[in-house]
Amino acid sequence: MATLFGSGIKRREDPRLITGQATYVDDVKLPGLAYAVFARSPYAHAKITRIDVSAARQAPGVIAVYTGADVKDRLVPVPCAWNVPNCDLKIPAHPLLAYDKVRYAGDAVAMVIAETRAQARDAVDLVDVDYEPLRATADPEQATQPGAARLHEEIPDNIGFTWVVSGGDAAAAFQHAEVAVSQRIVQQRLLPTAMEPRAAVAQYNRGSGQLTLWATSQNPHIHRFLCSVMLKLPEHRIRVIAPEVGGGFGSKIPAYPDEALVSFAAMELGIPVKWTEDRSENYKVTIHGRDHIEYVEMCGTRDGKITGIRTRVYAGLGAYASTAAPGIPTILHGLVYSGSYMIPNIHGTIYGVYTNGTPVDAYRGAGRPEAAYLIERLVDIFARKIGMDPIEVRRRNFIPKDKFPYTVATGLIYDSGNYEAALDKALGILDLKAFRAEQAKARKDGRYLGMGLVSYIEICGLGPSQVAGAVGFGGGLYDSAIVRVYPTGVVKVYIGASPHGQGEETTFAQIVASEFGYPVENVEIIHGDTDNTPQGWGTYGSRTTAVCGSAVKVAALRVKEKAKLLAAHLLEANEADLEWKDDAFRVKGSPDKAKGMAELALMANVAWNMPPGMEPGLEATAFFDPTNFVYPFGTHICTVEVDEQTGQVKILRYIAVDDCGPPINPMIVDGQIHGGVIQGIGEGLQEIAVYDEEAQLVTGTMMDYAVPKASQMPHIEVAHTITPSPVNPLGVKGCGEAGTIASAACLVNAVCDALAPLGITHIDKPLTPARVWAAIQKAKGATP
Amino acid sequence: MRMSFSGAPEVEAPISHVWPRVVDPHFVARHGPGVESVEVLDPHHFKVICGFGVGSIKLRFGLDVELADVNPPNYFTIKVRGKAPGSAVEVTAELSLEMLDAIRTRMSWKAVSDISGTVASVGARLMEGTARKLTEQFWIKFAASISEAGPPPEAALPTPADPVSPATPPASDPTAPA
Repeated sequence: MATLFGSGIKRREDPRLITGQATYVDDVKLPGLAYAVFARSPYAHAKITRIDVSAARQAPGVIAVYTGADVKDRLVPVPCAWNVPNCDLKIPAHPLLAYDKVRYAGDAVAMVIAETRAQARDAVDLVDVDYEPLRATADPEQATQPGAARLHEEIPDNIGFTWVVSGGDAAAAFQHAEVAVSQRIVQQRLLPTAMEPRAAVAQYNRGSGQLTLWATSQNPHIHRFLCSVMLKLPEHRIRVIAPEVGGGFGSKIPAYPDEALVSFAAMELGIPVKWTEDRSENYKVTIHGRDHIEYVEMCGTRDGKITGIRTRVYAGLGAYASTAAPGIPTILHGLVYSGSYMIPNIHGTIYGVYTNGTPVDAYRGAGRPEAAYLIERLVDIFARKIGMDPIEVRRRNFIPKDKFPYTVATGLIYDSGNYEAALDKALGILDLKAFRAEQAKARKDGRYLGMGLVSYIEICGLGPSQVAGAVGFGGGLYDSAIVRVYPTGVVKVYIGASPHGQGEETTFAQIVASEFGYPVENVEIIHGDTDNTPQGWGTYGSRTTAVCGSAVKVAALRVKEKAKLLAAHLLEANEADLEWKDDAFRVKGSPDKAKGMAELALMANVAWNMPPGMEPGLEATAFFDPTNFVYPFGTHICTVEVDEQTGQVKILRYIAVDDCGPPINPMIVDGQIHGGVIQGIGEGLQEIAVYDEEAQLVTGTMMDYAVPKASQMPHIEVAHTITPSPVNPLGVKGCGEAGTIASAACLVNAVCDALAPLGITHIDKPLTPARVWAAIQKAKGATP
Repeated sequence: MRMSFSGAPEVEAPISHVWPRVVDPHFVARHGPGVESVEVLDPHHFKVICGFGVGSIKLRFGLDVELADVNPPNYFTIKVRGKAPGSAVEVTAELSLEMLDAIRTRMSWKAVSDISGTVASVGARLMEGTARKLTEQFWIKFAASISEAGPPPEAALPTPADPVSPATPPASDPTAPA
């Protein structure tokens, strides 16, 4: 039993998920359910000169049609919840339905409610809108140039904020540097592509005044709050339920107009209303990720010491500031510019830019993959410049393991780490010498083999609430759990976080079952319903296990503490003479005198014989607020072969060594790493959201947007080092984003290593055959 | 998405026969891809309903067509603005006729179209090919049928009384990128 924590048992949620017995939002069926469909702008930027919904209103089955004019004075615009301080952040109003102007292709202009989904879709085609098209751009750098289309009257240069991160004296470091390198890097827009698109079902009881909203949410408590703002309905009148949620990757964190509008319609009409995105709509209106154009520099000494890093970043926000958008390219990006290294001088200027694209917000890794990518690319470019092995450059700059907790130049305090151990382990798996020999031989044969290596860190386990407040995050970042033991001894744990594929129904049960000496079947984890779970802040930022898992552990220990007092009373023993052994409290020296948790649960719940002053029942609540973030780290290595004739990149090996502290369930950790690596390889190789010159998204289907396929993926060799974090009682870090943070940079480093004989130092991802081929032709002096 | 096409087919007919055909909306519509109806508001302003298919998408566009800078028998520009459910299209085109000899005319045309909405995001990969095919087929058929049709009815021939716009350069397109 004691080994349940740390054992790779199968995910308990999977049987229902893979046998069609799970209930997703679109599976929710209610009597009299009506359906909502939105009329959306085909233009990326246009004035609305006229909207005529009369034909739509008369269409068969139509119950109601709402336009921006109908709702603008009754509902509050979509709030942005991350007011990053110490900058000139400007957050323009994001109306739930556009009424004067549309700012991206997909901006909703009307909502049709009909008896069936098909009728609603047919009627949407009858919404007649006259637009006066305006110039548009989806390019975050172009949008800041004089004469660019202006999205919001009050923001003439489209710059939503200018945020600066600074530590040491970067200007001086670069001025006196022996060596400096620079690179323009484009980190392309990505489409999160959760398997389940967004959906909402709203039901309003006019008698009780209660609104129930089933929503695809990573954070139902946050959605309850934000819906309360938009709908002007008190929080205690709203129940948000996130039933089964089919992936999010950040795209189900934000508040969107759609869920609030569906709620509004349910309240107005007194009937339940459902809306479900289709894939095209998902690609157009659910948030996108990344979208940076970066000018980055690194300086250092000829013997490989990095002395400075400097950036200028145009971070696309899209048309409006999504819920967490301002925090992503700033707090979660600029603050981690030191990476795994001691870099004394750091300066970054980040422009958050409004463009005529879909709003951009947190996508797996959120800001940190962009940071790891630019740092790890720069280290390789710098190493090439000084003629040193990039592995050696990394070793010379790593924060040594005995320096933790370590304060980097940007002010973050890294909790714990042993970067060189992860690097050595990865190199051991690779057999570096053998690979270099193979590479040298291949080069003689005119073949291009390469090895890429990344030693990343990430900031996660978000995070201390006090820090959340200090960096302008509009909420806390603690999390919560209620551990409730039933009379028969079985346990339900109600948590504030909201897992949607990460497997915490298994891992959290392992935490409690390990403490209670139970089989895992005795513990159920309940999440995703604001009416029965304590206030929490959701699942994102690789925070759920580090923060909410810690709350579970603390609550379980509180239960156990009470149970021990009760056991002492029932055994007529002194509490000090009891010890927890195997699966029960036992009297030291007389192990047969024992009380297990099941018996104690019964006695506590019937309360026939309680110690004087002890309340009946056996449950505890814990709110866990960490003292710091956690900083997982690791080294990934990728080897590739590049086909010189076609530009095709073939991954030969992918090795991931990650340190996320002690794994509760190693199989689930490995699964998270696999998923993350694959998503990052997609980013590195083939995923790109393309807008044309008129800011039309031309990769609007899964035929055009290249999500990785199983057949394209390499075998991923996963290994771990274990360095516990001192900031939570589990010692865990986080593993949900690690793979994504490392793998895109790892792949590009590998391809640039392969093509080093041609003098190629950088190719912007995604490394499609066309791009790689063009780079090869250019390097050879040919005109591609 | 923006697409530009152009061509300069030769028509086996004198320019005096070609001009009345190219400004006759009903004659043009007979060869236009997917044209379902044409409503003439005035000699230079038409409303056209027309259906397109791109891949799996079938759309009916309502098009507002306006001729400008009409300079018979040589030149005019066309502005088309159309909308369909979830999509929109804008086309600016120009056509010029050049007399090659007494029985042959060069018909030079170029068109720039901007496609927005669903048809752009879902059909982008197929759009260029489909649009090129439709456009090229149109001009080939159109040029052939002008020759086949012979001289237009007397009434359709332009007279000096026809309104002629001053040949000013077309206004700049407000949707063009900076």
